Amino acid sequence: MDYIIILLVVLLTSSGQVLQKLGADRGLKQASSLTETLRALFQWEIILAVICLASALLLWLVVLYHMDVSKAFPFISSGFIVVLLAARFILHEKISWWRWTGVLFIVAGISLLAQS
Amino acid sequence: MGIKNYQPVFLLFSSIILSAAAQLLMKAGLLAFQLSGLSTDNGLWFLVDGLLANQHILLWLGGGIICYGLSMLAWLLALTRYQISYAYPMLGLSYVLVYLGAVYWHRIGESFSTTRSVGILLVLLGVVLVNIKPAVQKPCRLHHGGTDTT
Repeated sequence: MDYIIILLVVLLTSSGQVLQKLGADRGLKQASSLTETLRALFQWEIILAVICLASALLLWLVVLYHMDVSKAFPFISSGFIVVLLAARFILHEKISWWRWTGVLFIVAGISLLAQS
Repeated sequence: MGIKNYQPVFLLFSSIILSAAAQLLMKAGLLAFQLSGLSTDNGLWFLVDGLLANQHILLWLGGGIICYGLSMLAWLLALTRYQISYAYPMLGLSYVLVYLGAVYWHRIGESFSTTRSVGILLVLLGVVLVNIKPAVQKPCRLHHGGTDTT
């Protein structure tokens, strides 16, 4: 059960990131005044992103209640790979092999950071 | 004014630093809460009364939440200029800052460990790799580095 919740946390966090990027590209990028910037912050992509990230945070607290951070963190840090896959296949970003390798190092490093 | 005028690097690093600050402030607030002997067990009014008498707890928790909000704002503005496949891995740096803050800020005072230090080195190495620009094959408008040209 805990692992299903962890999977949900990863998926919700990654969706939140993709939605923020979509929102940033659609409205925020073209905003040329403070009012337009503020208005662009309340478009549906960004509101949905905040909902995704907030529910991910709540579920994460549920996971931490049952499980040690050091055990849960390696799964959570795999979210970096999920975001890269989403960037490649949903947002069609070009990603170099350097970048893929770098992300693997970061995932390994963060997993170690959570060990005492 | 427009966000185009701001340096995207400044926005990205603001977001990274603010998100680490948010984590550290909230941790310090929760630790102070535990130390104060306050709990939610004795009813809401007892808790509110105790929190008003220990305003530093509220300041830290509130400061943490404000940093969190500002971090997200800087993040969104940074995303208008960077690919997410570049910006998101850079967030790994905030984990390094949280670790350093937790070890060196006496209010949190977590212990230094070899395993974690190796973790930091791996994250930093990863960040360097993420910043390597691939050799440009054609002189056309490619996505070079992390800058989003679309």
